[in-house]
Amino acid sequence: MRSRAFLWLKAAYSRALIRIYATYTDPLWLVVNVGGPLLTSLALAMLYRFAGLTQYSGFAVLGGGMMAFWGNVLWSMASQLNWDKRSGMLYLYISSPAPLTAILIGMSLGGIVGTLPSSLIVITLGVVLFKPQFSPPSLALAAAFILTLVALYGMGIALSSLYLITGREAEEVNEAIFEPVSFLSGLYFPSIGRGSPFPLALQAIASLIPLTIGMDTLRRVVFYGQDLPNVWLNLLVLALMAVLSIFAGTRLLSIIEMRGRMTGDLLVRIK
Amino acid sequence: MDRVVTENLGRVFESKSGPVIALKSVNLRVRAGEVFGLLGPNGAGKTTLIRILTTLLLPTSGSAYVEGYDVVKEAKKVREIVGFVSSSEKVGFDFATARLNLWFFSQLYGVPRRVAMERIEALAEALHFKDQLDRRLYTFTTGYRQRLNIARAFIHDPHVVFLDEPTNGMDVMSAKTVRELLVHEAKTKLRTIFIATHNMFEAEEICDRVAIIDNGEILALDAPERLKSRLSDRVVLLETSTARIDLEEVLSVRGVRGGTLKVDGESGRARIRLVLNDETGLSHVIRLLESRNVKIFLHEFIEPTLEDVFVSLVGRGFAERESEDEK
Amino acid sequence: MRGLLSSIILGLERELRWTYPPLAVAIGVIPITASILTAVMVFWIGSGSAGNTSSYWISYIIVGAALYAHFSSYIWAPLSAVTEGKATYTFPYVYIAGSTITYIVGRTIAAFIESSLTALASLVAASYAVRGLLGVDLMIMSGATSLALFTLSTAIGMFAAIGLGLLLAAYGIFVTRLEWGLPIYIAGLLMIFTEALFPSSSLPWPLPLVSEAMPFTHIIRAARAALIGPQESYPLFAAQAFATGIAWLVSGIAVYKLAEERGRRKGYIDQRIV
Repeated sequence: MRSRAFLWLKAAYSRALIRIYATYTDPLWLVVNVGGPLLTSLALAMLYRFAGLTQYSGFAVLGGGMMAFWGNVLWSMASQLNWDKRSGMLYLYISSPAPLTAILIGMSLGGIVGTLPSSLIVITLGVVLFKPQFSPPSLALAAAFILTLVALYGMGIALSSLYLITGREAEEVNEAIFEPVSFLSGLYFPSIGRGSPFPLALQAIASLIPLTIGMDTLRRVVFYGQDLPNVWLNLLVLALMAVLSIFAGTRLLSIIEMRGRMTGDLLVRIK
Repeated sequence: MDRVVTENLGRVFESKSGPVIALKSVNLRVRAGEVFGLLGPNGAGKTTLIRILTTLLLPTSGSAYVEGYDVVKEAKKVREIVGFVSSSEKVGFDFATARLNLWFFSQLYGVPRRVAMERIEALAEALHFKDQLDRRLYTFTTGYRQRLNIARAFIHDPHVVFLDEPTNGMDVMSAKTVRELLVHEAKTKLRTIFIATHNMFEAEEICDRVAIIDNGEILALDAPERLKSRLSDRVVLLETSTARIDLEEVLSVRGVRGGTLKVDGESGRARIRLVLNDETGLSHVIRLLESRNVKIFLHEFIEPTLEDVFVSLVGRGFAERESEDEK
Repeated sequence: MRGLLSSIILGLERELRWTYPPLAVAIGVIPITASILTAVMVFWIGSGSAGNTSSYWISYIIVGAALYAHFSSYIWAPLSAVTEGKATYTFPYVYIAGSTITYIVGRTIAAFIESSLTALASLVAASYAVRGLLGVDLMIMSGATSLALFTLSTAIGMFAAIGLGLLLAAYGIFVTRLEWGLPIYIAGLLMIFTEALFPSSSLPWPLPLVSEAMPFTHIIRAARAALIGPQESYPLFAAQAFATGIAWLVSGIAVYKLAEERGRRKGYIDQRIV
């Protein structure tokens, strides 16, 4: 039992380290990762300013910071196992005693640590240029941020299992869902709750996405000055979503692995 | 002690055109410290067998055991003690150094860091890429990548290592280095080396025993020398004036078991290699060729190879079998 | 001509994802519509929501965002023609055949065609979605004249597209890794400088000058004049789009030829992407 836990930790740690190494030893990765979120958040912050309510430019800045993580979840988490399948890495994972969940959790942790600099750069530049008003850091902010990331990356784990079933279409699915999810989840504007332009039905659908709840919680804490007593329900929902998506993802992964062993179609690379 | 055991192992794949039998009732026993070769053309079932033994694929009938563990029911235990190398040389993280790549793979097996580092140095030394350890993988040539791939398979001190065409695409010196390592690991550390190949020279050079496989069936299993000795004085080489020869017609001659034909592009001559049932087969063949106005420049009995053994069992060489499958 | 046609056909196969064309179309329209709607919602909320229904500006944003999406879609094609071509060793063969400019132009035109169609479809879809979600009556004209002028403004954009495509292809000859970095920045800068979402006068001086130098700014202005009005401004904007587009085309050809010659000297033509 102890050695299984130890193996789990080693596998997760080593996979996280590989991901962190990729980002931190090559500055060009940082430059590339910053581009999209930074320029999008600048453009939308300028649009808020042009529209008249400059104080809302903070929404765009926050959205840009979180877009870095959302992009990482989709392109480096969800698609990863599919790419590993094509490159032949997946068979190495499966033929080793390390659990696939450990590898996925390691990827998530590595992804979070690796994306943090990009997110901080986007937010810092946005704050310097647009000077939005925001509440000072608090326990509620830390909890909101951490749980949003956990829920988001949990979604990534669930998606990575689903993507194993698809073939080359994984990238196409990414391209198809990135913007719609950004829109529905209110990455740059409130899509649920106070100020949302959506009808209730659409808000309900949007609330099924972890990122929606996360963005709403972060906005309430950062811009509306709300604290733990106001957002505890959101935090609870985020925690539940994280647990559910990780559980669903790992269950699906076991089923896919077993099915792949039965049909032989999981391992494309082997002759 | 038998490290790898298969009992009536079978595997059927479902395809749009109907079921495909990849393995038919395979029975094998491979010992500790043995270098065991699985020789056959592409599509013979070599990779399917290895995939089952490395727990990547489930059998549809029969059973298989690695060090006594059932590959179906005790897959996790099997995974702890096997290593696997395929010829997919693109495996690994391009942006990371060779050392970091090997360390990562060692962690999937829970190898302590200090031990992992020592093994990385030792394996890199044995495979002659120690000076490349701190270079990023994307700078590696194909040969070096495959050496790293092989080192990876040994990093966790496995009891059994399965290799699927490991020297495919490698230059002569690299392949030689790899073969030397495999033999060394088998003989000094009593690892079982299970190698699937269609490289006859490799099979003859390093394998203690070879199983010849075709169409999912084991056709013969013995030491290479004993397999070849069954055909002594029965393999003949003919060199003819023209390549316009109907090989099928030649192979249908009484006394001929099988054969291959190769054409010399420059001279236009053909070299026919035949496996005979007995010496009379040669005279029948010569009579046939002369009746077709084919001049025979040379005919001599030669030392048989493992491909000749294959030909004697199947009637065709590897290349002809593979092109039959393509049709 | 044959080379150009075959490159366009190949490019269309590639842009339509070579698996299932309806999927390709859906993939193109859905994200663009979502990004248009995001911009509209940002403006809607930033202008004080329901009490400030500005039909003109919302129409302004829809047209601009759709065209921006069109630009940012096709800029990937010429770069990937070179980088993917190097990875599969296709590009060196095209180079030896002496057809690289034809090949790149063909691939760019193919992407241009595909992105024009998806951008137009997205403009229509977003218009309906905005009407449904916000209850705003848009000022977008859909008469034959408007559509014809809009199509013409998009077609004029082909020169700028090819020019930019050749500049990116020149970059593609030398880049050895993380090749998608530059197009991401270019797409972001296009969003800010081409009046896609807001007038360039909102930018601090002297940044509006950058906008004026871009053909894409004038294309968007011409398209807006066609669909929202005033159509009297259309000839001026179209002429500016044409003139700047030609300037970019000529620059693109010159830069690409220089890049190819240098790439050949330095051994980059067949150097693979990592």
